[in-house]
Amino acid sequence: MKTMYLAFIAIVVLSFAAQFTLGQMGQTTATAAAGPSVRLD
Amino acid sequence: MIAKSISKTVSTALVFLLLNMVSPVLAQEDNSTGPAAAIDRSATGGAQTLEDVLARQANAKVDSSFRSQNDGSDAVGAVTTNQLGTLGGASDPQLWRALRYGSADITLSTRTPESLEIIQDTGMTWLAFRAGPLREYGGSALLGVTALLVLFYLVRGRIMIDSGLSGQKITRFKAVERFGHWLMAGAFVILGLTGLLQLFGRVALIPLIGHEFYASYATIGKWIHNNFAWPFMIGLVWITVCWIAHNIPNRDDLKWLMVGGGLFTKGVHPPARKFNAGQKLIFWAVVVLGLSISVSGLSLLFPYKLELFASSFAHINSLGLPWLLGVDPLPEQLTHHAEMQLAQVWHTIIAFVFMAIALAHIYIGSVGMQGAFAAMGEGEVDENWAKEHHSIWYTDVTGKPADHHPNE
Repeated sequence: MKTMYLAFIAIVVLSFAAQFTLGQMGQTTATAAAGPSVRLD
Repeated sequence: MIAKSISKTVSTALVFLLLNMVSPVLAQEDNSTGPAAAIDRSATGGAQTLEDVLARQANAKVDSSFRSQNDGSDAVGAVTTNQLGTLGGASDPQLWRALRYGSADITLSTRTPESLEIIQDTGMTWLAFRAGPLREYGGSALLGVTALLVLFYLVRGRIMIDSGLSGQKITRFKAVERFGHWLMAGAFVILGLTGLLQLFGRVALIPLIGHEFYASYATIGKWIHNNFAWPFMIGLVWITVCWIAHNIPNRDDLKWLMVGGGLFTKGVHPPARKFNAGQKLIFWAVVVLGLSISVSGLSLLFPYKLELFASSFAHINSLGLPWLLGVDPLPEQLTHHAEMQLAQVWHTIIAFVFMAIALAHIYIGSVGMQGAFAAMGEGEVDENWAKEHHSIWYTDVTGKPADHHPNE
């Protein structure tokens, strides 16, 4: 059963890693849906 | 129109059925079965007539060029040398038609191609399909499979090890195999639950928990669904690599299928290698459906970056499938939004099929069969279980004969 629990932990870790990586690549919803002409920063 | 498309295709091929069901464009006014009718529009000055409305209601072909071309542009607008030139002469309806048919000369601050589709009239068809048949048929399929499994359990009971537990264990799956399985399976269960709650939340959850709490849940659920997709895809590749060689069909599978795997008859145990024919069917279903749901999911994760349907439809048309089935060619020109809507509907339909199969798999791997869960839980099974359900594999692994097979 250890392997099963390890896989479940890996699911959570991989999910956060995916979120972080995509964010670093500029693939978040906020950046993907915004253009330079509508950004306020 | 959707029901009509279903009735056209259900008897021919499942894939083509789904494509027709989910194609919003097929439900547009130009999709029709009857011949084109020439309508005299002089009485309305070229505008829509009662005949147009009646023809549309009768699903006859309606030539919409009188609307799409009447957009106030130079070609059809007032003469520019008149006091009221083309711009001044364009009416509001002409402007709206120009927006609807994509001929308006507009500029937006977000200059992406999809943002220029200000009016996309297939959206309502998609919404109606998502809120109607998709929920009804999908939900019914899951409830139906669940009911069948309960019925099977009541009639057949738990499939026991006929010769009882031997107390001797044999390694069934290595840790690397189990890790891949649980990586994909764990993510799949969460993806299924969050997907269902996103689809049914408005009708099932909001009445229970209220709008405010549901809004919070929906935000979290969407995050989970988007990000758990990655371990699912990794797990899918993982188990495919691990098990594809063991899932090549062979003649033992026919023997297994001929007796229904012994699932319906006590004491019948057809020979099987590492995976029996039923498990192979599950494996290939998971690979094919998993690939399809992953690709459509990626299309949704990266909107407008991975548009699949227009090119797929063109390929299907080029193969002559619509002609063979006696239906109209599939649309090869789709708006960016229609691509996303089709991807969403396709993703959901595949998910329902996937979940229905997974329910049966989960049942037989847990409460449905004694000793089955241990194979993937702990990696070891009782020797008598192995002899009864995977006799050829048992002999290959241990070098000992398995002598529990009256049908072998």
